[in-house]
Amino acid sequence: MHASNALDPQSPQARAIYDLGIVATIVFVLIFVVVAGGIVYAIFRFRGREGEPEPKQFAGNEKVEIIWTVIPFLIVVFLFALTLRGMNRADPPPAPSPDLVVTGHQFWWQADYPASGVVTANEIHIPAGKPLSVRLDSKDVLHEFWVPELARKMTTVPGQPNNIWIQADKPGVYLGTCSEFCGTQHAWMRIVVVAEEPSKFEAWQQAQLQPAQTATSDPAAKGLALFQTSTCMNCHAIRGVPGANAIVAPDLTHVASRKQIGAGILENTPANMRKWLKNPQHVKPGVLMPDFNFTGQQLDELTAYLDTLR
Amino acid sequence: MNGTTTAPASPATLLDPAEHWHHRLAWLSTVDHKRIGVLYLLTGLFFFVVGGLEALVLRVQLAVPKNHFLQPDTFNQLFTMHGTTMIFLVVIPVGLGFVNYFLPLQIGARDMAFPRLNAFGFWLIPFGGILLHFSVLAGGAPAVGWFSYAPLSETPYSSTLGVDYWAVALFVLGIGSVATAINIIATVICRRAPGMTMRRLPLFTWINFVNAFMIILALPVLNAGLAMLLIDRQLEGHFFLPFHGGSAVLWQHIFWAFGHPEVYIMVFPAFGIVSEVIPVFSRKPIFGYAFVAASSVAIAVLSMGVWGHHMFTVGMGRAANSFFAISSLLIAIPTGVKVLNWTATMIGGRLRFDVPMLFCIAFLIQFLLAGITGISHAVVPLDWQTKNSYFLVAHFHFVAVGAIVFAFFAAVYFWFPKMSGRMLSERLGKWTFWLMVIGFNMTFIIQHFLGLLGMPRRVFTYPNLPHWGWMNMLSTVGVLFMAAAALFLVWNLAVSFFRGKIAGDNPWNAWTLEWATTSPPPHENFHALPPIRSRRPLWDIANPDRPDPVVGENTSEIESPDKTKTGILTFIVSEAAFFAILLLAYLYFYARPQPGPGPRELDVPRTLVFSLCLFASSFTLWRSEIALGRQRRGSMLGWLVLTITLGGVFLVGQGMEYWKLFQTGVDVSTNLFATSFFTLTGFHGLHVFLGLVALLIFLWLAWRGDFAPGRSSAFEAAGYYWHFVDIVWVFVLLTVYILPLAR
Repeated sequence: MHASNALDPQSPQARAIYDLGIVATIVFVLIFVVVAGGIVYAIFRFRGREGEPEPKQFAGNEKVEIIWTVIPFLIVVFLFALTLRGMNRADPPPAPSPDLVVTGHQFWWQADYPASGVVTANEIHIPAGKPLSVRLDSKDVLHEFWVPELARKMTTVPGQPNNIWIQADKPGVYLGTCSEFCGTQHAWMRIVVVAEEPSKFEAWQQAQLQPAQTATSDPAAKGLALFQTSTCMNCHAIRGVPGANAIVAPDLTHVASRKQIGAGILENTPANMRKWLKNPQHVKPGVLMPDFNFTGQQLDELTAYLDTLR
Repeated sequence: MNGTTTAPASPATLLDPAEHWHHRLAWLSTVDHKRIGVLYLLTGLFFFVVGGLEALVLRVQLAVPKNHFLQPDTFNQLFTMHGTTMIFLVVIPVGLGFVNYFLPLQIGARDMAFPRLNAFGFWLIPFGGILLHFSVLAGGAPAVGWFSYAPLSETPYSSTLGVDYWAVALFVLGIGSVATAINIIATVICRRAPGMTMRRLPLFTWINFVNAFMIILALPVLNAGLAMLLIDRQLEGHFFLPFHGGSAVLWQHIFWAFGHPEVYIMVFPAFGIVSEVIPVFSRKPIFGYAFVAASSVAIAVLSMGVWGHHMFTVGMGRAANSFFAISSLLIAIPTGVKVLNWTATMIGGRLRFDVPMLFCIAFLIQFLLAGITGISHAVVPLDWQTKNSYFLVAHFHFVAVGAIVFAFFAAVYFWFPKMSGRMLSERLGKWTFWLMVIGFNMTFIIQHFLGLLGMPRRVFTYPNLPHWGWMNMLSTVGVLFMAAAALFLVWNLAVSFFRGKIAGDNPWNAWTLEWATTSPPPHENFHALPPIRSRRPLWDIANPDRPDPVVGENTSEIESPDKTKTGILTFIVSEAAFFAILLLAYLYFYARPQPGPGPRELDVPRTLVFSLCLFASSFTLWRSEIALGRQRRGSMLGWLVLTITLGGVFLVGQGMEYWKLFQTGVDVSTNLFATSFFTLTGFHGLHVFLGLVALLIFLWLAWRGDFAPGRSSAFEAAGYYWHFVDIVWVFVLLTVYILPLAR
């Protein structure tokens, strides 16, 4: 089963953080054992009895104070050195031009591949074993890109793009999420990263670059017509459909190839897509897509059309 | 000192029904620090129940994956209100409540320095709480989190009035906290009993004295930020709107420059409590008094420079990240010194495990863990994984509940006998303690691991990823234990208040002055004070054969500065912090010029002339003070009238500047120059105006001949304030008018 486990790093960047975490945890456990040990020792050793006289009164010892100021200071210096080294390892300077641009929207992710021109949403494909320089941007509020097994987290700040490196050593599916509260549906702004063998990734890229299939048969053709006449195009792009190039909402050119709907809220099946189209505000209250009150027949047609966009 | 065995005498028992009713109503108009302290504590308890119920509902929603118990927007409103309530309406009021009640007692004072200011500071809390909750009736509570990150908190993304009520409420609460902090500082400086030198202060008093300085420096920073946010929202300013040239990151800098000191502001009263309780129940003085006190100062100073550790993921750059990493790591040292001193206090003692001590021991271990996970957030790469995850939620609840609430519970059990005259039930107290320990740790330990498994904070629901389901369920079950503990506490308070064992003056055989009077203490606190020559006056009385060594020189009289001047100087420090933020914000946007109007629109020569008027008014006011000192009423009135006239002329000049800008179509919403210019000069103008009002009142009083020579300190204090407003204008003039000429 796929996960988002920071303790199971799958990239050199995430591993650098994990390794640092192991060293730090050893230090932390030692501190805890020593100090908590002192407390527990005092509790058992110095338990008072009824009627005992007051104990010896002493009010401190400067030598002891100096010792327990200096030792923490040395620990702090050590942790700071680890911090500096860890920052360089987990977050090297960005490449001059990004391999991938991820843009946060309320409440979904846009992914652009500048070299190839692929545009997709919420499901990011990467070639396994290759470090990618990722630029993070936002179209509205703050979001935060966090895929624990592959990279550090980083806020997407409107007007101030940030950069991280992301990599997956092995092919696999890695989960992540928006981790900065961004509004009503922050919970369902999840990320799927699919790492594939480079050849498979190349094939995926080629497939994504194809314009949408032209719908010829009923009911898909009727669905396309509905898409064009129902203001869907004000927000959604489908390459190959004249005029449909807005990027307010996810690009649908190959929507049927993706695993999920609504940034993680539903599995992408025709039945779920129909449910979504019927009443997006019921499925994901607060999503920026309004309810269109489509009839049953219209829902069938739209679902059929979207299912052709593979 | 343990003589009292009869029921605590209350004047209420001697009154007829009408007088009785009047006596009750007097709680509303009281300026007595003890009653105000109790009002703070009851207000805090009320909101603790509110915030706790909110937490309970939140945890029910999170008990199972993909739960439909709450709508997402309801959940988001609830966690925003939970955080805001617990921080501003529970932890701060309860901390200030204990300080209000016990700080004057501990220093042998009859009351706070400014009793009416004290009442004002308190009443702003229920007022702020009502404002905050009124948002529910006005279109919905805020749903942006307690730190209200821009631009989500801006009108385009939060169009209902929730954020406005939130901002106004926090502004009001901030003013109340600053007022009380000024009062605390003036009380400690000016109201100590003979013999109570600064080096003999009980640590609770000492730590809260330091805390008051953090409050007067940090809260105005928040208030400046809130003012800017409200200007954005209500007047279409652009401070934090990136698509109009504003900066989302600037809000974070301002908020956390307040917010991190705020964390220490919340925890310092807890430190103070623990520093009192552990010695008493170990039957030994605190280990390393000077180090506990000095480490508080070190923490307070460092706390002003660690805010960036909340921002390691916004892309501040390597240099800033490194700076805030080392400053945040360094603050662990004085904090660690405190924990070690508390531990060392127990070593060699005769420990008594009454309920207050039990809570302090749990505090120690839980705060130790909270500190350690806190250090992990200063190690930047670790923060890059754990920030904004449930690991962070667990960390700060270990501070807020595991440390602060536990210390407050200790304080309730420790001091309730003094406040009510009756003991709380030990049996019910032990139930509270164990339920609390079990519930708290069950709820929050597991959340560290949830965070490491990738669960982000502030989600209304979550997918069923491996382990997330059972971990969340366990966390929710823990909350039920804590809720039961809270019920036991409230039950214990209610029952013991009427039927508890009579406490006597000093039930714990403690050593500080609050135990040297009756329980509850009489009006004005003491019939007679014991001699104060060490840090533990009551130990010296109980053990005449082995008293504590005398601390410092044994002076009987303390030179105490004038309280009005002390108060106003403290107020000026807080105002300086407020203007510093507005100035820095102006400079921030000055360095990033935008198209549209800029400083070149301003009329420099005319402003210089009007500025001279303002500066001259400082001179004339000084002359007026001299005349008052020499008892020359006519001369004093003349110079005062001239001062007010000059101040008025300055305001007219500023009005002309504004009018000209309005005429050319420039207002606060035009661009960022305009937004920051009008904000900075507008707040300065407002302060000049308020200064004028104060001077007019003095003029009226002086005119009536009401100005006894003894009142001159108030006049001098107003003078300080007026000079301060003029000095602020020096900085504004240099920044806004002169700096562009140098370009």
